[in-house]
Amino acid sequence: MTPVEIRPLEPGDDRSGLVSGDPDLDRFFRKYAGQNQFHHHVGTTYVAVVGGVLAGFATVSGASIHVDEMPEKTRRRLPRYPLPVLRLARLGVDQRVRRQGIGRQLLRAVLLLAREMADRVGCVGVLVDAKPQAVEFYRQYGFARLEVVEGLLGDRPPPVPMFLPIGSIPGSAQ
Amino acid sequence: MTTPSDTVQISALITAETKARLEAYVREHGVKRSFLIERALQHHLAALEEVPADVVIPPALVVNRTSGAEFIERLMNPPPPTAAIRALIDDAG
Repeated sequence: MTPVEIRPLEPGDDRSGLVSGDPDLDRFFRKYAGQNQFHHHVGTTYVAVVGGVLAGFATVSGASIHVDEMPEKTRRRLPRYPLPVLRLARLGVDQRVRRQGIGRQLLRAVLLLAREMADRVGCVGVLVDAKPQAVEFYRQYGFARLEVVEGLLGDRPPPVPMFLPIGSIPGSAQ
Repeated sequence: MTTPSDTVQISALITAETKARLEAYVREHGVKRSFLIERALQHHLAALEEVPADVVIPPALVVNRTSGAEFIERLMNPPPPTAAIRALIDDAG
């Protein structure tokens, strides 16, 4: 497997060279990932660095899940406040280094981050906005589809929201 | 409010076509060149700061009732980690 360093995006990183093949992902990474992170503080992008070059990225942010019209019997099993999750909103890998495990390493970093978040501030799981062609990739790790009625990303084609409970991540406190 | 003491002079090379459009606008609307140039720069810089709606990550999601029941069941009784996620977490790269 290619040696990959995963770290948060830095202001001086050259984001112009990464080409995932998805124009929307590339536009987000080049124009808005830094703005979201350094100016608006609404999301953090982790980059995969291979040989000093940015080879992939994953953008996460804190989010919460509400269940619409929950029956009272079920509602009693839950706390009366929104459930905090880590949202993996975007993940892209440079098309020149595909199938080298970089996407897997980014996902691994996000899962470890969710585990840490659960320990430190509370997190019930990871919500991923999966590209339709990536649904099977996430399913193998235990993610299952959620029917979201509000709070979807505006990407085209629409992403498929999928959820993995924190208890299904090895090493997390049960 | 901007006072004359806050203003500075800049100079820039622009294309003849842009200059012609600038002059035409100034003539047609009766505004000063400096006013128009500063407004144009302010609008441009504000647009660069703005995040378009399609790249915003909404902080809250609402799940429908059916999917919500499954979601809660998985929270209360999380499925055991799959073989793939075990291998992924064990793999330190």
